[in-house]
Parts: sequence; structure tokens; C-alpha cells
Amino acid sequence: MRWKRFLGIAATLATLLVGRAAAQEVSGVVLEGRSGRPLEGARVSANSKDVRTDARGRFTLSGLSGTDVSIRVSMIGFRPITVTAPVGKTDIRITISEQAVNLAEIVVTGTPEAIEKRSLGNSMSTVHAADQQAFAPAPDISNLINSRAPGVVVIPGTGQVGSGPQVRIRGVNSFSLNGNPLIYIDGARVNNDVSQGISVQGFGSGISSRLNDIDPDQIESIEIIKGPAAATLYGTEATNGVIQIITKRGKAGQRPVIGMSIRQGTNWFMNPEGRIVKPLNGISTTNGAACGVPSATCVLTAWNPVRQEDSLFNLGLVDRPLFENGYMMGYGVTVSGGTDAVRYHLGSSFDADNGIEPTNDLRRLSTNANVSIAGGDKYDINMSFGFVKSKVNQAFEAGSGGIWFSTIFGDPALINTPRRGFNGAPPEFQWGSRQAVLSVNRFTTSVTINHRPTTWLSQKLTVGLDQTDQAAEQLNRFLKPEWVQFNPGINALGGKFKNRRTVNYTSFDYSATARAKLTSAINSSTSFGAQYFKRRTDDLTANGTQFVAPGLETVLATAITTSTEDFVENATLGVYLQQQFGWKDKFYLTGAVRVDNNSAFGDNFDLIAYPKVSASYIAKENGEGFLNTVKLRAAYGQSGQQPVAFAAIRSWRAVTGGDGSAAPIPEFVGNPDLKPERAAEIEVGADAGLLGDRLGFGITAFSKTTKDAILLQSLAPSLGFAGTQFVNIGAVRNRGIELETYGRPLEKKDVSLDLRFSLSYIKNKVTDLGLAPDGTPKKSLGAGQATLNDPVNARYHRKVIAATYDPTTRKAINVLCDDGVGGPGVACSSAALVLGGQFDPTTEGALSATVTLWNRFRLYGLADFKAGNVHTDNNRRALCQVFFRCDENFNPDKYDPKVIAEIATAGTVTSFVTSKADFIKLRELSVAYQLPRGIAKWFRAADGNVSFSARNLHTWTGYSGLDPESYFVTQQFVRLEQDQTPQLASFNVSLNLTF
Amino acid sequence: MRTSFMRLLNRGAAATGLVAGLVGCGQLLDQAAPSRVLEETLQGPAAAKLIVDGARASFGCVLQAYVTGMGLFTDELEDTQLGAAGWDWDRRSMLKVGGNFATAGCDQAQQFGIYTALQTARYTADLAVKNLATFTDAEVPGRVALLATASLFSGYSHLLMGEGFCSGTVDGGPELTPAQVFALAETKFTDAIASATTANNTSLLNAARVGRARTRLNLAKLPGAAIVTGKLTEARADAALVPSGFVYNVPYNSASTYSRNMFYTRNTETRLYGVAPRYWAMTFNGTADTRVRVTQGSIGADNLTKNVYLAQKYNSQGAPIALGKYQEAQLIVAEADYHLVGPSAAVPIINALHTAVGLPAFASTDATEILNQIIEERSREMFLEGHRAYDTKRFNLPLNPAAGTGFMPPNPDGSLRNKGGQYGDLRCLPLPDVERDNNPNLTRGR
Repeated sequence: MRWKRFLGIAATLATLLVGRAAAQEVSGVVLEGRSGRPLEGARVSANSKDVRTDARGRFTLSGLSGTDVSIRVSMIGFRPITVTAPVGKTDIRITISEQAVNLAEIVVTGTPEAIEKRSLGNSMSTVHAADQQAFAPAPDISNLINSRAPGVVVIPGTGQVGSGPQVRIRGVNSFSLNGNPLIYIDGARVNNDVSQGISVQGFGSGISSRLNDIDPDQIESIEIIKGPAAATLYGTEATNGVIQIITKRGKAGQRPVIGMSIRQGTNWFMNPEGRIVKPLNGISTTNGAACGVPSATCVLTAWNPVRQEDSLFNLGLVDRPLFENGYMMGYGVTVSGGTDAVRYHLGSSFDADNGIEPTNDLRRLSTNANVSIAGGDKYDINMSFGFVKSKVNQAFEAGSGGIWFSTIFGDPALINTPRRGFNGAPPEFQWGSRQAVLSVNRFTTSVTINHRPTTWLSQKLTVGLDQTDQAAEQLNRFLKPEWVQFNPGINALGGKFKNRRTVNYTSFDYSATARAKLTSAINSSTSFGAQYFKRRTDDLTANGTQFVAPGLETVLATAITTSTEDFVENATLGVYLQQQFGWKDKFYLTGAVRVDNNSAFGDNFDLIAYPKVSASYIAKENGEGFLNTVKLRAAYGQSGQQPVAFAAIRSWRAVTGGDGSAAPIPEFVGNPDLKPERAAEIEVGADAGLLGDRLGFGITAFSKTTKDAILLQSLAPSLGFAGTQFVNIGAVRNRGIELETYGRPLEKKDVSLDLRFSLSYIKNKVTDLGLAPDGTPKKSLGAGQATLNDPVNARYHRKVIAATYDPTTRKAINVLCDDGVGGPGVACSSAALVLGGQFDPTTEGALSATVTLWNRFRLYGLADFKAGNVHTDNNRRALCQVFFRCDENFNPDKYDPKVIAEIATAGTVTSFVTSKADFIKLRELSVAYQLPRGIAKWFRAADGNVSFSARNLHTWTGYSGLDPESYFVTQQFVRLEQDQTPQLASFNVSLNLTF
Repeated sequence: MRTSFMRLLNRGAAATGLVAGLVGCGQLLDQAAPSRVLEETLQGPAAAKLIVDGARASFGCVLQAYVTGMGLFTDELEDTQLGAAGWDWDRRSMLKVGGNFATAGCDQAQQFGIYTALQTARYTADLAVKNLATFTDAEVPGRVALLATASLFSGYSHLLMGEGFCSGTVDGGPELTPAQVFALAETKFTDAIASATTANNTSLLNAARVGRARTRLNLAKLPGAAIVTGKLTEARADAALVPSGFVYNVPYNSASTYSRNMFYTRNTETRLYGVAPRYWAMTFNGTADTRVRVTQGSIGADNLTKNVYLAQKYNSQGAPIALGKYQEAQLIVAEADYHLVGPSAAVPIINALHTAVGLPAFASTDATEILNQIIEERSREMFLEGHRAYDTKRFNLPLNPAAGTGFMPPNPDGSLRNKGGQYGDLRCLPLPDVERDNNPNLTRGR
């Protein structure tokens, strides 16, 4: 009994002690207002006590007295806040919001060293990825940046799982070179390829992008600079802008912070019955075969493939419907922490997403490790390692056919055949007879050493390596006997294609900056830098045709094999010098010049220099009243885009002759005068913080002109070296304006509203095409090609301008086509190609809103829009002009005779498929809930949140095709939709826990 | 430790600065190109034969594409594929603005072209001739025979351009009429004959004779023009020198698509294109004509054509194509004699050809009948050898199927094969815009 009494006394004392201790302190967490993410490093003070929040955003203020305490929380870039809390409270949640204009924000892109945004003369968009992912997780980087930076256009092309987009920043700069921006990860240049998957019939499908290899959950932020005015220091190749991805780093703390996440979801093709045009045909009532004009014995029949396959599936006659929901899941774990000397962040995730076809899925393992070593005041070392292993099964689409081709171009006359109405073959053949796979193993690493030998000098060296090992395979299986009818002949024996490509990026980036205080008001910063970059691509391809038996799957098992090997390398070496003067932290003037050489320049061309000058002026900072912060900025700069490797070299191709001899034939004519494109850009803008820095506003106007624009010019075949030649010719200009406004118009204790609206407008046109042989300015590069004062990404078509309908013949008569000079019209056989619009949008923007309730619920919505462009609806063209199975073919009296006349030209006059592609898309909707600690403890976690997010729920558009975002994206300009998977709707549930 | 690290870092920085100073002269920018055959490696006498091999290889590639394409363009072949890649060929509906016929490679199965490939072959042959002319016999073993070979392929490249296209051009020059192109071909064949004679190479000599005879026949009887007796006489003279049994084959092998007779792939292996109905069962007075051997295959790649007919002439990827042969020479003699001597003079020649393949004799004294029989004999003797298109043009034969007919005709059982559009009325291929737009001496395209 004695020991029981002792325990009782001890327990009472302990309770009293704890209670007393609790009564003398407060503790809680500081959160970022919009995302609810814990903030590390926030200053929390009360009653002369002063602490900083830890990696979890937590703080404890001890030694307090009284019943209530006034707590002030402040942090650079955030609006300070003061709250009152009872002493002893241990679960205080304090939310602070970012200043609308944060001039103290540190940026690293486009500058020799990390600097505050105040001194930047150019605009820069920053996507706070970690914040965004906390309440509206994006499945990949392209979705993360889409609509979050004005002027940055994401071009998806296909909705297949595992696909990737192209990204265009501030328009198209070149006639022929790719428009991909440079991508850096933690200061090291990495692979920015946008490659195509399966390719038959001369155009690509199954687009993949190396940008999407990177797990968005491992990213802290993304900085985007948009053109030469900002990217001069990146020199040659930076014309298209730069995307810098900054990965998460460990934070100093007493023990590791462990995070775990789980995602489950589904995707689907929204409203397929309503979106897939139903092919028509006249069916004979006597023998069921296709017949001509509908009559008593020829009945017009429409074919609904979606409903048909659903019915067959329900009857158990086929294994699956035409389209199924795709199951998606993802799992992630992170560990971060460290000490003041060493910090680390380790993360790994696994994604397994299925598409709406059984032949489309993604499996991706992504691992990231960052280690930071601080060597006191003198140096620090940051190391990043990333490894991605992914495998994407790509369903056949676009030029490769697949179910999209066979469904969209189906034929009701074939319903009662083994093809069940599908063009070519039924779905089980499309899915079972062949498979395309893209496998990637990618290793990315960088080491950055920052050295500060004196107080006035600092230097930085970054060494990066990015190696992508990619295997693209296409297996055409040895066909089952019942499938031979769908692909007879030698094709029934199948074959295998395999391409292994290794792409190596090696980069060295050195910079040194010396700072000096020239007067009490003027500071000087002088920087020197040198960069070396090399890309090498090794290709090994094996191809085999004719398997000798079923079940075989390797090239070795084929009867006829061929192989090729190639490698291409390109290197850039550049140096720069930059001088910046700052006056009283208010005015900054920066001048720089970069000099480059590149291995792809022609023999007759050597160095190129790119100058830059910029200025920023802080007219007001953290002031009182309506207008709190104002920054004015202006920048002028140049950068370039180097020619394609080997483009300058004249070379021949080795072939085998019919007599078995090895023989050369002319291949590339080369161009020894080839030099880089030079883009010059001037931009002016302003950033303003209003209404107590709760509302931010940014505006930027720019004008960018690319001179010596490189054109892949067709050659007259009679010259012998047929094909194309890269030449510097003419100029392309992009002018535009970008607006962005954001802020928190509503901020109450339990409810707040964040809004962000962005809008950009860009006008693109060809301003120079060189001189004609007679010395006059050339007005066009040829029919349907670049034309002076037209957009460079123009759609040209022939157009019927007058026609009447003849009910007797059921044809259009008196047909006249546009002659291109405003005349009364000409016969369509000699019609001119006339401008039908431009393929890329002139206007794009987005509106997003976040409603935060009780600091726990976050409702987020994003709608984006694009306008001012046209696409070619080739599904309609082929259905009407090639297969003759659209309604216009059978009921011409219901339609505009001009359309009937165009359809009758069987492909030469096609203005009727030039369709406006304006759209508004409800891109994202999400609800996130920050778990109370009590619930988090159910999982033995310290914190957690659960989110429900949906994407691509609705599109408002007048576009005639399946989706205004579907098209071949491997082509530089053309936006042509034919048999692509549209953007899929999706729904995900995510649970994130921190331990 | 820290001190030595700093020293290392400083040295690294200095080294980096030094490297940066090498801009413009650094080895860092050397661009290796071991996968590119650089032109400078092909300019010496040691490479002269290689260029001739290139001319032969490129001509071989374009010839099988020409045979397929112009076979589709005429009544020899029909499209049996699912995609639209070959429809313009068969439908005779290509615009000069472009399309596969203008720019696609000759080694592709589905979407192949001939214009660019033909110009590549012509350019390579002409370059080979030009190079060989600057070297000596000592520098290049067998130089004269190589000259004959290169001249022969240059002559045939010009000849096919003149026959297949409505107009032509050479080396970025002005637009040429077919007659002007034929005139160039004649010169090349004359050069080939001279070189082959010097080299004592009878195979090349007779091939050049057949080529020049064909060219002169074309010049003698241009479409819609009166017969030029002198040229006809010259054509007959060349053709008459060709010995019985002669054939000059362009060889093929299965090593690569470039060296392969892709006709076999397109027809037999993939059933993209089939022999057209006119040739399914050719007989003469009830006797099967073994010169046109076809077999009935299974369903076409379009899933619409019930039976694709397969040409037995090209029964493997390595099957050769006759470029010039005795039978062609004899039919040139027959046609010349028809005009120079009288229609009946052609009959014995026709019958000699019939006897050789076991066909009954042809008998007629009617001039039209005899001319039609010469044309018929040409279509059978040179079936799928690239002659039918120009015969259709110069003899103004009816287009088959007729222009305006829906593309394509039904199967024999009546089931439809609708693919869209109508047959056009082209009898030659337009000079494509890829040439017009980029050749400064030509009128721009539409």
C-alpha cells in the first residue's frame, strides 16, 4: 500500500509541476496563409522573449507571466501579425501572409549569385511549388507551372498518362529551331527534350517530355525567366527562356522530419458519346453492304462505337468497354533534417497511373537526395542527386492509328463484320497486336560550392551531370490466326523496333562577384563568369521484322534485322562580365556582356557577343496608405539559339547498293556561314503592393525580335543535295503584355480569400525575310510558308468564297476560291493559300481562388483560358474528305454550299476544318483539410492533411474537334488534331502526414 | 583541412577562368562527327568509284519506286492500303504543291516518292562523270568503264524525268520541257556509248543503246506532235544493234530498304498495292501470256480489297528490274518500222516475240490494229518496268479507270471499296512546288 501512496503523491506533484510549467509558456505553430504550410525561421516574440520557429514551424515561448500574452510574428517577405493568446495554451495556430510584393525574396536565376528581387530589372515568375502541392497537388511539373506564370504556355497535345507537353515562353522565336526553354535543376543544366514516342506515317504520337521526369513533390520552387532581357547570362540557347527548378533542402532541426504521402485516384474520358462524331454510311437494305445516296433501299445509318462496346461488354462478348476509368496511385516518403553544419533532404516516390486504354500506363520511381554542408562563414557546399526510373506504355494514337483512328473513322457498313464497324480492326486487335514502351533511367547530380574568401568577394562553382538512358520499343506481335485478316501479309509476322538513347548533359558554371561600397550611398557589384556546357546523344537502334513463330518478342527472333548507331554532340563555351551599381537600396543599374562560341556554328563564323542592361527603381517600399510598395523596372538584353548540331557540315549518307556495294549518296548540304539566331528583347514593367501589401499587381510589356532567324529551308531537289538546309534568314518579332494581380482581399479570423489573375497577350509576326534575287525585300518563302507581316506560326489554307447548291446533282456548283489578292475569286484548282489564323494563342490567362476556412479547410479552383488561335481539325477533314462518312456527305442540302464545295475537293481546299480553338477550362478544383493534431495522432503523426482534387472537369469552347488541347506537338507550329487522346478528367485523394 | 580546401577551390577558380579565356580556340568545342560522311573525304580519285557506286545505288532505289508509283498512276497497279499515303498516286490527283511523290524517300514502303530521289540519282551520276573527267586512268582503275556506268545512269535519270514529269529541271536551272530533258538524256547516252565502246564493255554499251533508242523514240514522237522521221530512224538504228537475249538488270538485295526491290514489299509482303484488274488474267487468243504472271492473294491491307493480285515478276526483295532489254529494242524497231516502212512491217517482230513465249501468232493488216498490238505488246513485255505511263501519254491511251470515276472501283463481287475522291486526268506528274519554290530560275508555285 505504501508504494501506492507514494505513486499517488508523485503523480499529483507531477501534475502540478506540469501544469505550472504550462501556465508559464505558450507554444504553437506558424503557418503560411495560403497553403497552410509550416514556416521555418519565423520570428515569434512576446514579453521581450524572442524565438524562431523550427522546421515544423513550431515555437515555444517560456517564462511568461500573466493570463494573456500578446505574440508578434514576423518574417522577411511576410506581413507581420500580432495575436493574443492565453498563457499556457500549447496549440496556437498563427497564420501569416506573404507581402504582395516581396522585394526581399531571394532569386538565383539569370544572375551570377543569389540576389534580392529588388535589384532585378527584368520580370521573373516564381512558382512556390511546395506551397501549391500542399493543398492542390499537381501530378507533374507541367501541370504545376501551367497557368501560374503569365506568358508561359504549356502545350499538352495528348491526354495519355505519362505524356509530356511542350512549353513556350513568350511566343515563337524561330522559323525552325525548337522553342523549348532551358531547364536547370539546382544550377545545373539538364535535359529539356520533348521527344515523340511511336512514329509511323511521318508524324509522331505519344509525346513524352523530360521535364515531367521530376517529381513535383520534391520541388521547393520554380523560377522562370522569360526571354533574352533576363537570360543574357545564359547566352546561346537561352532565347526561349529558362526554367530553374529548386529542389527541397533539409532544414536544421533537433531530429529528422519524416513525411509520408499517399494518393489514390482515377481518370476518365469525359462524355465520350457526346464528343466522338458518329460516322455515317448508307447501308443497303438488300445485302447490308455500303451504298451511295440514301433512298428506300439505302438507309443512312450512324454508328455509335461507345454505346456498342458498352453493350457488348455488358453482355460479356468483349473483355472491356471502349474506354474505362484509369486507376491512379502514388506513394511518397521524405526525410529531412540536419544541424547547422549539415542538412539533408531525402525523398522518394512511386507513381502508378493507368490510362483509359489498357495499353497506356505509367510506372515511375523517383528518388532525390540533397545534402548541404556549411563551412562556417567561408563556404558551403550543396549537393543534389536525383534518380528516376520510369516506364510508360504508350497507347497507339495520332499518326499511329490505334482505337482513336479506328473509332473516329469507323464505318457502319462494317458493323456485322469481324471489325464491328471499326476502321481497320476492332479494339482488341489494336490493344493486343502491338505495344509501345518508353523506359527511362535518369541520373541527375550537381554540386555547388559557394566560397566567400573575404567579405567583399564570393565565388561559386557548379558542376552538373544529367544522364538519361532511354529505351523506346515497339513490338508488333506475331498475329493470332483470327487477327491476320486485319493486317495481312508480311505484317502479320510482326516485328520489333528498339532504340536505346543516352543523352548526357555536362555543365560547369563558375562565377565570382566582388562587392564594394563606393560611397555611403553607392554600392558596386562586379561579376565574372564562365560556363561550359556539353550535350552528347548516343543512339543505338535495332530493328527486326518477321518473327518466325508466335510469342517471340526480341529482335534476335526476327528473320530480317537491321541496326544503326549514331552520336551527336554539341558544346557551348561562354564567358560574361557584369557590373551592377546600387544606390541606397532603391536604384540598381546593371550592365553585362556575354561572349559565346558553339560547336555548331559554321566554319565561317566565330564568336558572338550578347549585351545586357537593366535598371530597377524602388519608388516606395512598405509604405503606408493605399500604395505600399512600388518597383519600376526595365531591361534590355540579347541571347541566342545555336543551330542544330552538324547543320553547318556538308555530308553524305552511306547506303547499300543493289549490287551489295557500300555507296555514298548526298545527304546534307550544310552551311559554313551558319550562325546563331540573335534575339534582342526590351521589357519594361512595374510591381506594386497595395492595400497594406495585401494586393499585388505586376505588369510587363516586352518586345522581342529574333534576327538571323534560322530557317530549315527546303532545297530544290534538282540541286542534288535534296531535303533541307539551315540558313539564317529574316526576323521574327514578338510583342506582348503580361498582367498579374494577386492578393488576399478577404482576411478574417476564420475565413480568408486569395485570388490570382493573370493575363498575357502576344502578337507574333514575321518582320523580315531577307532579299529576293532582284534585291527587293522578299515577301514570302513560298506558298503556305512564312510570309511577311503574318504570324510565323500561321495556318494557311485554300478557301471557297462562293458556291451554290444544285439539288439535282446534290453538289456545289459555281464554285470560286479565294485568289489571295481580294479579287472576285478563281477556280479552286488555281486557288491561293490564304491566311486562316495562327496556331498558338495570342491571349492566355488564368483565374484562381483559394478560400481558407478556420485555418484548416482550403478550397481551391483554377480556370485557365487561351484565345486567338486556330487548329486544324483533321478528324473532320479525314471523315468528310477522305472517308466520306460525315453528315455533309449524305445530307449536303443542310449545309453551307461553300463547305460542300470544299469537301468535294478531296483535300485540296480545307478552310472548313480551320477551327477557332479558344477555350476556357476548369483546370483544377480541390479541397484540402489540415488535420487537427488529435486526428494526426491517430496515425502517430505530428501533422497531416488530406486533399481531394479534380482536374479538367469542363471545357467551354467552340472548337469543332475533340479537345482544343489535342494535336501533334512534334511539329514546330502546326496544331493539327487527328486521333489524339483528349485531356482526361481526373480525381485524386491525397493524404500527407508529417512525423 | 579547410585551408587546403580553400587553396584547391581558388586554384579551381583560376583554372576555370583560364579555360574561359580559350573561347574561340579551345578544344572544348571540337565536334566529332564519326557518323557523318564528310564531303571532303569523297573528293579525291580514290573516291571516284564510290561516287559511281552511289549513282548506281540511288538509281536502283528510285527505279523500284518509279515502277511502283507509275504503275499506280497507270492501269498496272491499284491501291490496297488502309491509309491515304498512296491514294494520290492511284487516283492521279497529286497537286504540284507537293505530296509524297515529290519529297518522300524511294525506300519507303507506304509513302514513297520519286522526284527528289530521281534528282539525287541524276546529280550523283553527273557528279561522278564530272569527277572522273578530272582524273587520269592511272589515278582511277577502270576509269572509262566507270564513266560509261555513270553516264548510263545519268541518261536513264534524265529519261525517267522526261517521261514521268510534265516538265523538268536540272541543277537549279530553268524549267525544261520533256523534249529538252530527252535531249539531255540523249547526250548522256551518247557519252555512255562512247565510253562503253572504249572500255569494250558490251553490257553497258547495249544498255546505253536501248536507253538512247528509247529516248530517240520519245523525241521522234512527242505527244500530240508529228513524227520526226530522222529521230525515228536513229532510234531504230540504236535498237537494231541490241543483240537477242540481251537484258540489263538493275540488281537488288535484301540488305536494307535502300538496296531492296521494295515493289515486292509493297505488293507481296505488305499488300499495300496490288496488280490492277487489266493484268489479272492476260491471254492472247485464249493462250495465257506468261509475260504477265500474277497470282491471287488474300485480302488487302485496306481490309476492303477482297483479293490483292501479286506480280510474280518480282518475287523477292532481291528481284532485279530490267532497265533495258532485247524485247524493248525489238518493239522500238517494230514501232519505227511501222512508221518508216509500213504497219505490216511490225507484225513479224511481234510474232517473233510471241513465239519466244509460246503465244499464237498475231495477224492483221489494219494499221490501227497493228499499232494497238504494238502498244499491247509493250504493256506486256515491259509490264511493271516503268514504261506504261509514258505510253499512256504519248499514245493518248484512255485513262483506266476513267477520270471522274469514284475512287475506287468495287470488288468483283460488287462490294464497295470507297476511299474518297475521284480519279483525276493527269498523264504526267507536275513539277512539284518544292522545286518551284526553291529554284531561283523557276516560276513560284501557286
